Amino acid sequence: MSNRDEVVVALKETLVDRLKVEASTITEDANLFEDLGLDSIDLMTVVMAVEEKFGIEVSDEELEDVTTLGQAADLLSAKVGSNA
Amino acid sequence: MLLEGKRLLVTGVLTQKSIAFAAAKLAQQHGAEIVLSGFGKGLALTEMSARRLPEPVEILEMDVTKDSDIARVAEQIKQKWGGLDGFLHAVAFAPQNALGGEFLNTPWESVELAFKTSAFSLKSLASGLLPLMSRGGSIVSLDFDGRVAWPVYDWMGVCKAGLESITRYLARDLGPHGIRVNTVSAGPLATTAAKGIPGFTSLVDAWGSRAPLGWKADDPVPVAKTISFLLSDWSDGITGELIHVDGGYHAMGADIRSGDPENI
Repeated sequence: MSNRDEVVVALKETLVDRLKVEASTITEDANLFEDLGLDSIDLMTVVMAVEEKFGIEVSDEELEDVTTLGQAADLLSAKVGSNA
Repeated sequence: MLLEGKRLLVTGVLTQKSIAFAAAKLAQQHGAEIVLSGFGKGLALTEMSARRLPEPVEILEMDVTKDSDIARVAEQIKQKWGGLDGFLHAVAFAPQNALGGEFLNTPWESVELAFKTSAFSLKSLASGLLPLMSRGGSIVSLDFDGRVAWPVYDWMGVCKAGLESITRYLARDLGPHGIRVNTVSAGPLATTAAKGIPGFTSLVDAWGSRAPLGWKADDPVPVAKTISFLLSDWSDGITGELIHVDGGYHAMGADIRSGDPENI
């Protein structure tokens, strides 16, 4: 599995297990806020869970432009890649 | 060490950028024992952030607007330590329509929730934890100068003015118990709470032009240092006080320069 695939799995797990998002609604293009109903606390929870799992860190500035799961996966997996 | 032997409750740790996180970290580094409290959906964040503190901490769930939650936390702390030497109140919330320039249109329900969560809760926590502080103690809260009006801060500003007043009345009533009550008025810091304040960056810019010492909106450590001082015995003659940790902004009557606050 690529870094990106692993990050997507971790993101989905956190969304479903911790934030109780309905699994069937989660796609890479889904808007995290409008489609999945997250707020800023939720997004930070998801990101921090993935940060912990992969030992990476993302700044608030980098997160500002993230609105979809796919964008979050791109941002986070790039960090995982550069950490390896 | 400054806080050797102090048993402290720190509320309001959400992320590593939280003022409360910096305060908890510094307090641990200076010898304090800490428990954290977290609330609702933020609790998961509190748990993850807590793992990044120097020492492991217990996290208690507490909604400061619920007396039953405060009573449960008091019992948990009693079981754990037998008493408490102080706490940091770092809790504030206002609904969207209470901030951002709609001051004249904000409904009472929003103001009520903001006041209950952000100001009255200082009294609730103080009275709920009072039985634990039989050796005396120190209570510190986080303020944003409520003596004056600000752009966009609106009803949260009113709540902070209330918090300042509650600080003085608690100082009056808890002084005989050997408990000090003070509030720290910080300059603008880029925390999760600040993200909810529209026009936050304009406040940071204002600090750049006016604060004689300059101001770093991404560095909560100066505020954390003052919190540790107030929680320690080194401040044992201070109560009912509003201490500005704002780079000196409050003491200036007008802008003293133009430019970047970090490059003076």
